[in-house]
Amino acid sequence: MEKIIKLNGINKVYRTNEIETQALENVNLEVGKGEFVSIMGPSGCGKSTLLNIIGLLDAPSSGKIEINGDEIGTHMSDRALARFRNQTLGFVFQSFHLIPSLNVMDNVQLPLVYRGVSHRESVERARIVLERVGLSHRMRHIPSQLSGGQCQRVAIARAIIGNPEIILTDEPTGNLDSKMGAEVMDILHELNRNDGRTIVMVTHNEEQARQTDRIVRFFDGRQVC
Amino acid sequence: MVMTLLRQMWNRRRQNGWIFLELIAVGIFLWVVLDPLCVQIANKNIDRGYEQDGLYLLNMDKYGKRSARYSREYDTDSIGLENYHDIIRVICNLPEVGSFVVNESSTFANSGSFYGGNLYGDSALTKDVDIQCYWFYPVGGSDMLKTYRFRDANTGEIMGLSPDFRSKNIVYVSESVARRLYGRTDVAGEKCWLGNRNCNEIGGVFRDFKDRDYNQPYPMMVAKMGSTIRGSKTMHWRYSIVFRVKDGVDADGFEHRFNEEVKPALVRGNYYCTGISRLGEYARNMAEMTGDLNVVRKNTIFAMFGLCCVFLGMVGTFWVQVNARRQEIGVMRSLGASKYRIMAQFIMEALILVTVTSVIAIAVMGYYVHAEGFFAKGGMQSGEMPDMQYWQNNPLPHFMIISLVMYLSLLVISIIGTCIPVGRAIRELPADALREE
Repeated sequence: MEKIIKLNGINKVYRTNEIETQALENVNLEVGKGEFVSIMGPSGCGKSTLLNIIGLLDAPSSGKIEINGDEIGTHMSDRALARFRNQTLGFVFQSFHLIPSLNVMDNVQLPLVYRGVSHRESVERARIVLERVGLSHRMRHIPSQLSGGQCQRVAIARAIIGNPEIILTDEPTGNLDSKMGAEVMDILHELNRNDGRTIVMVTHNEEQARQTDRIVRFFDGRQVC
Repeated sequence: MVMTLLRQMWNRRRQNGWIFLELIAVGIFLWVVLDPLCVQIANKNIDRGYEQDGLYLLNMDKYGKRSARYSREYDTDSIGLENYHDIIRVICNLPEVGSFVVNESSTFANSGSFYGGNLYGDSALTKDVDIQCYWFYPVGGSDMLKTYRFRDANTGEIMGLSPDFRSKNIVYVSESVARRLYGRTDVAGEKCWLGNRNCNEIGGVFRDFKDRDYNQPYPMMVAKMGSTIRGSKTMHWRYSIVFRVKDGVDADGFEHRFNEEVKPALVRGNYYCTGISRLGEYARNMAEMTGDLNVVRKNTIFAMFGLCCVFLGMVGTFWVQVNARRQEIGVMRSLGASKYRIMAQFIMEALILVTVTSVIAIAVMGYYVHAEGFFAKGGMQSGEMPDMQYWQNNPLPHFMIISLVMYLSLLVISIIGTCIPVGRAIRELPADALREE
């Protein structure tokens, strides 16, 4: 299987004046194209840090990240990093991270706005993805008027509107009840199976992790299997 | 994008409410303090109509009866006159002096006095013009036009007195006088009447002349008060001597030599020289005394204060907002917004806020000045004759320019006040911005 993500010797150290914390230690990980990988481990083991590093939201202290064969990282300009995030990655966060002052339609369109897509096209594409996640009737609502499950579906719609190859999702069901969580997982599986998107998911839920192609476990910043 | 931004700002109207009200209040405040400041600065920037550099005023005094140097023998009008003529001769014979003028009491630039009159054209159809008069005495080559370097309104050349100035009733008028009396400036040779009594011939038309640096040019006439000065007990303040040093003379060197060599020797009878003042210094002192400079200082301080309030308000508000919106900034970056893009969005928000609030503030000020009669009177007292070539005398351009200056001042300060906290926020790693939420 072609490898879309390659992490080589990733270390992450958080330093303050008093203490130094090793969040990730020599992580070597490869993710195949179209693979659905779960990352599991106890709280504080570095799962989210790893996801942030893959998503270029955080910088490793050392090590190399390759996505689609290209080395990416802080050597890239801010504009190039932004373009990379916009075109290759989609994020789904545990706490949704929708912009509260924008309605559903505007939230979902944001990646296309940053890409410079015309208003007409971005509206059309937002409609399609919102229909796909079953929220076409909520387009004019603001996030505070939606349930948690609906917010997460909006976040998924926002993550996929730009057709990114990789979706990074950090405990997407962590704030949802089991029914809504199952709905969200169904959508993610559908995106993986039908669209062939690569998904890396951080989760605490063993059952959800077992439904994915592979589980990577972490403990104290180290990859244990 | 702008519509999205407007919707977003509307949805955040509660958070924006305070800065919105503050901007309106400061906008009105700024308009009020910028108005006189801009007018003063605009007036200051109007060409003086003469060259101030190189001009000196001779400061004269007279020993009083209690002074040990006082001489009763010299305290007669005839000896005083002789002495004063001698003083004039000394000044005009100084090798550095190019020209000089003996003015009637306080009728020279920045003298602080106003010698007014009415000038009539040579036709019953023309209205009279309120004028300011500069009187001088053409004694021993005294020439006001040449000394001040009045410029001809038609040719731009430096003017000089007509050869028959001493023998005929010749006056020189400013271009605004010529325009008001005759509708044109090529009026040399025309007749005019001063106070409807004395018929004068116009010897030439000079460019508009400012009596004081912070005033607008006033319609002006230059004429001789008489062919010669007359003796009196108070000649030292009645006849002011202004002179111009030749081009290329080092001012500091000349002043040094004057104070060391000329001044101590310039004692004639009871009259003695106390020194010389550069006319520029004299003008500045006059601006101090008349309060013109204080108006500029006071309004500059008020304007700075207003702008500081806006700056601190914007920095504070955006600091709070940006801190509250750090998660949003993190989300924007995770979705592919560059730092530049985020900065541009916040600047756009500031621009919209300032524009909307400025429109409201300008509307309020428009209503206020309209109610005060600003547009009806043109901002001038009814007795004055505003020269409409200056924007500050035209109500609509005046209002528009002050409003524009107010808007731009608010805009610049607001953008700076926005960039500082936003710049700080976008330098963070997106993960940190998202983590803290």
